[in-house]
Amino acid sequence: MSVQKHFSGDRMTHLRHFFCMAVIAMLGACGSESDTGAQNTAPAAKTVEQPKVAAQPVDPVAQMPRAVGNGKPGAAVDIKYEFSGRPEVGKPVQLEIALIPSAGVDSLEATFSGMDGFTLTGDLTTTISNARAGEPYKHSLSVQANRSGVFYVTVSVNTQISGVTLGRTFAVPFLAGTATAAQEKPAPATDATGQAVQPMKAQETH
Amino acid sequence: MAERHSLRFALLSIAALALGACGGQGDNDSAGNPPPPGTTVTLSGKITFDRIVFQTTLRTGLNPSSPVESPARQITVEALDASSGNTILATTTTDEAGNYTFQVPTNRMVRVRAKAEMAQTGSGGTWNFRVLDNTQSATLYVLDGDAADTGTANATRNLRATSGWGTTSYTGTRAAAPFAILDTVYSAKKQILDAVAGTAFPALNLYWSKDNRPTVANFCTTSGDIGTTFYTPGETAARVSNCAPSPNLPGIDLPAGIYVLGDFANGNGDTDEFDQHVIAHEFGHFVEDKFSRSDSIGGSHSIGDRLDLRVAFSEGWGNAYAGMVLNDPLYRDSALGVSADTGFDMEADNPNDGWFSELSITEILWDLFDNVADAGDQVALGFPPLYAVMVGAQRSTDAMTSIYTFVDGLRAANASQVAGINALLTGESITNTDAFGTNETNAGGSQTALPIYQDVAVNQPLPTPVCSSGNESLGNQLGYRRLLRLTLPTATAVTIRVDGTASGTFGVPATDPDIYLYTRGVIVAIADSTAAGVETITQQPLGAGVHIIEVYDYDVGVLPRCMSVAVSGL
Repeated sequence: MSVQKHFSGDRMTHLRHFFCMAVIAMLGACGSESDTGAQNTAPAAKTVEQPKVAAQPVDPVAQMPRAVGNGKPGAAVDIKYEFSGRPEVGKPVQLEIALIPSAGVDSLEATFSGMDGFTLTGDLTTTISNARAGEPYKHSLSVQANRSGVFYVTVSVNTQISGVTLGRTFAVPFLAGTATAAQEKPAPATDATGQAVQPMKAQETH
Repeated sequence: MAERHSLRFALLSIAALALGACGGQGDNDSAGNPPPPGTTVTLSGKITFDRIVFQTTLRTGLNPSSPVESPARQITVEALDASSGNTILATTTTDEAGNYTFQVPTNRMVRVRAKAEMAQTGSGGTWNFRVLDNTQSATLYVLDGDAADTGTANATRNLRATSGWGTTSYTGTRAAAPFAILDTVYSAKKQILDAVAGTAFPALNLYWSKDNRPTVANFCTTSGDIGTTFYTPGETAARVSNCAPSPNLPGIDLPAGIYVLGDFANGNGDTDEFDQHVIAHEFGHFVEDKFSRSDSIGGSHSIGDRLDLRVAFSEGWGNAYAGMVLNDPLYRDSALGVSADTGFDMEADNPNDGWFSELSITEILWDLFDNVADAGDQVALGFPPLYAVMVGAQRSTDAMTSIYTFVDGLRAANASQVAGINALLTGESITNTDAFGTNETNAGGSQTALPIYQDVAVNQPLPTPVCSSGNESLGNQLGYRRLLRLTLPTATAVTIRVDGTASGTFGVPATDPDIYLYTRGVIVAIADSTAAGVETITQQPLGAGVHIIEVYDYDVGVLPRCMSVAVSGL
């Protein structure tokens, strides 16, 4: 039983804000194609002031907090990004990525890479020495889609903190061309118990 | 002759039905009777998977060209009737060496299936761990052998889940991945069972897909945009923007479990299925959530961060637990496909010492556990005493969970080890104090981190405002969320009012203060309206004892954001 399920709407919204911090922010969700500026972080929506609902008596064991911190450790860096325009097939657009180190980061290095379906040009690596916490270090690349679809620019960042190196990978998504309706996935196979299964072939010996 | 065939058919049908229906009874029928002699043969073998291990040289990643064939331990194996819709003829579980054996009908087309599932009911502990594909309707990964006639003689069928690695990249099905994940879970489970025999684990699903990638901005588990490897106790659609069509619209529920990265991305992605410390770290969060208590507010974290003390402990626990499970203090996380790795050594004296550092917590917990007597570490408690605190004092503390609460419980239960325990804290620049961190002097460079708890009493307004760090974007960093301790001698209905108030030379008035109220880590009230400069919790009934008030300013800026706090009640 989750404690939040007992809460009123405003509490749920706040916990949603918490969860966004716990997951979405953790994921470095800091930019989008529609961001007006790479330095802006949109705060989670707040609730309108309303009367408080008195909490019901609680069972402290049954209602242990659920917001367990949860992600794996990563490099002390965040990213934000902005496209100069809507990516279209055959037309290059600029992608500006801001690398933002946290406190304690001495230096960082980043590698940028593409995937099938688009061409990524520009300096595909960058190194920042004497990094300053909170400073957005901007890096521009050109992106040209060869076909419609959803693509990802992969950004791999290593940070150095007093000789310790930690890495973090980001996948920057973008849609080129017109969105196509998601293809209906075929119904998964099921076993005799009705469990949906994904068979993989074994290497078998006798 | 015809009668004998009919009888044999009937017996086989009964046996098959019984075995198929009860699933898990192995070679006996539902009444525990062995099958009639001559109608079955023994099918046995070994289930293995290819574990891709790290290169011996740090930072050079994994070595996919030399996989280590490893036993798939305690997983479910089935004999399927390939001629009749894969009816389950027999079910069993592999042993510690990956071996299985069961009786199957003679002269039957049978396929052996190994499931990415580890389940046990009955005595000796219970668990149900499964590896599913979050991008394919949560399908369970299964490893299938060929359909072959069982004939009339006993036979061996070994199944091996290969990695799918070609020469320079993955070119085949990555069948080993789910079993590698599950095998790390086996080790993590064993760590708990060795401490507390018979532990009943809540069910846990682990979600892995080759399409699970560290996407920014979009969070959608069904498309693989999971952001990072993480544990979640599960969230409803109303509370998490999972696959939401737009930021302000609800998406879908987020099922509880551990989500694991798997996107190779042409050699540039981040895959975690073979990163045992990463998997064990997340299992540590599962253990903390289900058997202990965590007051962590979550959020982004790194070894260089100065974190909220609750987050620092939870993440430090995850790191150290991984080291304990694997008995390996070298935390390695592969990247750039398989070609690189980063991490840290729990035995090294890493930077950024303090109660707010997940790495300090990691090092302390590791040193409490390990039996290597290095500088400043004369303690070797092993895992059970540490786990006893996690499920005991840490769960019932009046304070928010932190290194202070953990060590307070550990000292109480291990009086002869106090000097050694204290030495470890001193080595990480943490004051030896009580569960509330009273008199801590290490502020971590923050103007607003100390005192960790400020006492507040009913009808006695604080003499000076409380200030929250202004420059905060993640919500979980040191000095942002300020804690106050309210001790009530008797049950009281309290009103808590917070007003933005300037303080000192640099403290500006908070413009949107928020309040959280906790009792033993449980949130009992929240006030987070958009009212300008003020927030109030009104007439909140509280029992006698200690309660924690958390205040911060939702708005942030360069300067500290300050507020007066007053508690009134009858």
